[in-house]
Amino acid sequence: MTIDAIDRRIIAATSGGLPLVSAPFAEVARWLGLEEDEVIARMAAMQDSGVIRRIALAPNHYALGLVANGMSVWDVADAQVDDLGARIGALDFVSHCYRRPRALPDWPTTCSPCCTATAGTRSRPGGPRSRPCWARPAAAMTSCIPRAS
Amino acid sequence: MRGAPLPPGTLDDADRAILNALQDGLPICPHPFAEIAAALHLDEAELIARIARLREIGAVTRFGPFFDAEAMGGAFCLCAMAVPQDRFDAVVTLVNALPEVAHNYERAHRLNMWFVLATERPEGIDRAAARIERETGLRVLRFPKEREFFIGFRVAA
Repeated sequence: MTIDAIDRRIIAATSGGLPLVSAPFAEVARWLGLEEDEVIARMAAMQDSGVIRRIALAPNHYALGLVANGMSVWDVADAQVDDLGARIGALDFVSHCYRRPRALPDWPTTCSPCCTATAGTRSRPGGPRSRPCWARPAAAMTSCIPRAS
Repeated sequence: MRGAPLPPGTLDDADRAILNALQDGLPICPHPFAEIAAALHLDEAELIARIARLREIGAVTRFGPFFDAEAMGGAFCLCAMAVPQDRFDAVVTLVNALPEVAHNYERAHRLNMWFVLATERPEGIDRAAARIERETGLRVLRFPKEREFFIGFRVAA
């Protein structure tokens, strides 16, 4: 989907969040000098095309009791990676799961196309430790490994 | 961001129902909170006030649209580096100085620094990674996403 300058203004205006008022899209329209109908139509079109994944609440997992997250990386046979990736992704404690290329120096890189699956998991106490070096709030980020306390 | 659990009793059943329902999304319509409130048997004004409180107490980090930078022509790439321990803090400073670095974690592995680059154009990934390699003298391994198996994690409040 191509987005135009007005879409970009809507994205910029809402990247910090949606206003918590009864008619939030009318409020965004008021900020930008647009009509509510146009903001709703444009945001709906962006959601249909995937530019907006969803309009939702991001819970603070640590405030809600999750205490650890860990990223695991697996070297999976190419013939199996798509099947296993889907099955790992379906586990309820897996937050996201991707297939990625091999790049480690101690793994063969000449036999590409080679694949690995990376899964970020969030678990109750006992998971692998990690320390955040830094995190910048990024509105565009829909899947990221959360900060550990 | 709050890193500790909320004290017991901070959230009531209605708060938990809101947290669970609104992770899935808000309809794009003139009065979206009224629709969600009806489904949760709450008053619209009460729902809005509760969302504001959940944000204030740190139970919610963000409420609004989640954009997919890739659908807008941008790119993400997971990157990893093996950073000597005695240089770790200095390298953190160098890496975090780049606006393309979205988040960065130390992890318990030989590859001990993992970060995500987010750029407006795909070619920006290699440019940013090359700059980090130049400034640190360390190799930046790039693990671009080839296929997304799952990203829809929801926490049950």
